[in-house]
Amino acid sequence: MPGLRALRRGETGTGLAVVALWIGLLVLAGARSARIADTVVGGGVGEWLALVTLVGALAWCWGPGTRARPLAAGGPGDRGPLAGVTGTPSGRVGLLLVAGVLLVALLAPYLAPHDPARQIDPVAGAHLPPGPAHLLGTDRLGRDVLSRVLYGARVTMAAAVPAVALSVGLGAAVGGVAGYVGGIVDSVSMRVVDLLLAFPRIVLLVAAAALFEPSLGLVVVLLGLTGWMDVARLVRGEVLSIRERPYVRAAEGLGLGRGRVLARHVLPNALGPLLVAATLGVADAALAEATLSFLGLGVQAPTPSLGSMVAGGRDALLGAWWVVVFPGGVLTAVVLGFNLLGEAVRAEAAGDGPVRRGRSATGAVDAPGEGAA
Amino acid sequence: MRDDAGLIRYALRRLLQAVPLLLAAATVVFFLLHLAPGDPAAAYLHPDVPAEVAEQVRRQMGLGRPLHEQYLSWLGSVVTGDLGYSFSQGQTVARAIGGALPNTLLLGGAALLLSFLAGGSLGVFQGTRPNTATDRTLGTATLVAYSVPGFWIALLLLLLFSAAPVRELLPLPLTGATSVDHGLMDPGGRVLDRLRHLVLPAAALSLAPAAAVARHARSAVLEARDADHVRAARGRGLAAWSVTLRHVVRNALLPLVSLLGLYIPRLMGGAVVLEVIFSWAGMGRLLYRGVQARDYPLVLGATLLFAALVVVANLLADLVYAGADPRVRYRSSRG
Repeated sequence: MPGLRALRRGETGTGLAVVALWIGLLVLAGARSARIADTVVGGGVGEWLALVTLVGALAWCWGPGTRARPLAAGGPGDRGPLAGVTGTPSGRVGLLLVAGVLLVALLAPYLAPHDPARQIDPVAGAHLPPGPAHLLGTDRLGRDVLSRVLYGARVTMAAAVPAVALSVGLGAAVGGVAGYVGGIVDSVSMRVVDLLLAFPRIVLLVAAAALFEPSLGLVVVLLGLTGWMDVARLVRGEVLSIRERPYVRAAEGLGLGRGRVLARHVLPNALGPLLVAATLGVADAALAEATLSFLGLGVQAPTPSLGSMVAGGRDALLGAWWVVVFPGGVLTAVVLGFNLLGEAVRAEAAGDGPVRRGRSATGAVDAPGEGAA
Repeated sequence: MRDDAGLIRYALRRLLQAVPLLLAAATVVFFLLHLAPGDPAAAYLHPDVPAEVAEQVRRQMGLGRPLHEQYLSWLGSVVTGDLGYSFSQGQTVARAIGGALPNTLLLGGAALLLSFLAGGSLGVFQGTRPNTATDRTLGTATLVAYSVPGFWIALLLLLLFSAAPVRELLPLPLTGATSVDHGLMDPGGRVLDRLRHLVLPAAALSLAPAAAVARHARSAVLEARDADHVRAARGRGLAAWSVTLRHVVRNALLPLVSLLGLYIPRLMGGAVVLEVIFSWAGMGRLLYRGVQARDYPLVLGATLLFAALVVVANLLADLVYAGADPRVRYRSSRG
């Protein structure tokens, strides 16, 4: 059985997590067997994505999950990409939050108890408080808040993740070329970055949303185009130091083309900072998407978005707090998860353990001073 | 005296750098307008305007002219402060912005002050007791505060301050920048009225930046504590609080001023949504109303002004920093 081996090794946390995930997935598959059958007969892309995720996650529990390394890193042979990240409590919480929200977003069609757009009973069913029938209550149109939150998390991820892929790609390209080529290319592209950074991101997004017809695709493109400047600066800084390293010099000396050196030898070595920027970028993009949707300029109804759900609850704030509190809380958890994970990856990439914390030398030197304070 | 001359030279050079940045911002806004679907006249005109009027406006706007001519005339009118006419506000864009700007400066300034005071103190508090349980708890708390969406915390504040027990204890106005009878108040009452209206929006706006400042301040303090002169001061037997205040805090917090460039755009972006929620008659709400009415001259004018605010605020921050730390202007005059 999945997780048992970890339990036998004495890794209670990892083992229980895998067992719980496995049982949870099986229960879900059993309870939603009708929907799964529907998917097989004639489901859309979203449903198929959910089915693949379900099967994949179950397979993971049997396969890699069974052999899962301890969540708390430390063993000498333990050098997976996430080994250091899971070494701190905040890194573990971040990873769990991120994995949780991604799983929920992908499985939303099976997890949601109701259709997120269905008005179950628009008159008597509006603004029902949280209870057994609707765990998180219903909104002003009688729609199930829990189902909408699950689908909303899906929309948030569907907007933020591709947008960050776009902005990281663009930022890496501009920053890489600017840093590697230098000279006029460098100064011109950095002036453009300075210029675009003078526009507050939300202001640019709001103004652009006024000029174009709002849709999920537009939100992705706008978020991507307004998020690459910080990445470009970061990558340029990295590249400036990497390009002086001996192996880059050697590659150039061997007569490799500039593009090839940049792509094969320089940029791969800036992967750590890029990963940090991407993780923190998802947090930022999720917040920006929610803000745009809150203002009614993002993904349009009836698609549920965490931001527009909060906006929909504004008018009945005092009578139906649950419509505002739950989507906002989930959004905070999502953003927090990516921020925690990003900080943990940053600490790992910097090679000094937990962020600005675990420098034991500092602690040791400062200890007497603290006693006196 | 020599030093003053250096500062003035630095100020002039920074000022000269800001001018092209502002012109470039106007260029970005110009192309934003021309990127929009349909021709800019469609953007400038209300859809209900009759066709012949639209044609006349097109000719008046010079849309038949080549793009570079249009661009130059746009730059010319921006430089002279002519941003067009806002049909949704029934006045010129410049006038509408002029009415809204002071409110945004008040809200943004208050939030900036609050985030640096609160965040700075919190960071120093944490930095002087690193890796303790208190420090870790506060570290988690600041990361949570940094992750909370501004619009959500604003609604939670409204929820909290409309609850009966809180209202009795601390009655605060929930929306608006001033009371209805603001004009009838005596000067002291007006100031108080404004401050009371400022509390909730400024608190909501400063939460995330304060958390960011706290995290930066904490690591800056940690670094400054290890500096040789601080160890020497401690070694001379100076009281711990005096070392912290005089040698650590001063050195650690000054560089935070240079982070203003990072926070001001975020603060301005946050102001957009918070002004809408709190019915705060500022630039953000003006921009939002322009967007809702598809009032493009207003949207573009407000966007341009936000960029100008960021550029000017960065300029001021650099000048303050250079004034306080001579090394900055020395370094930049050599490089």
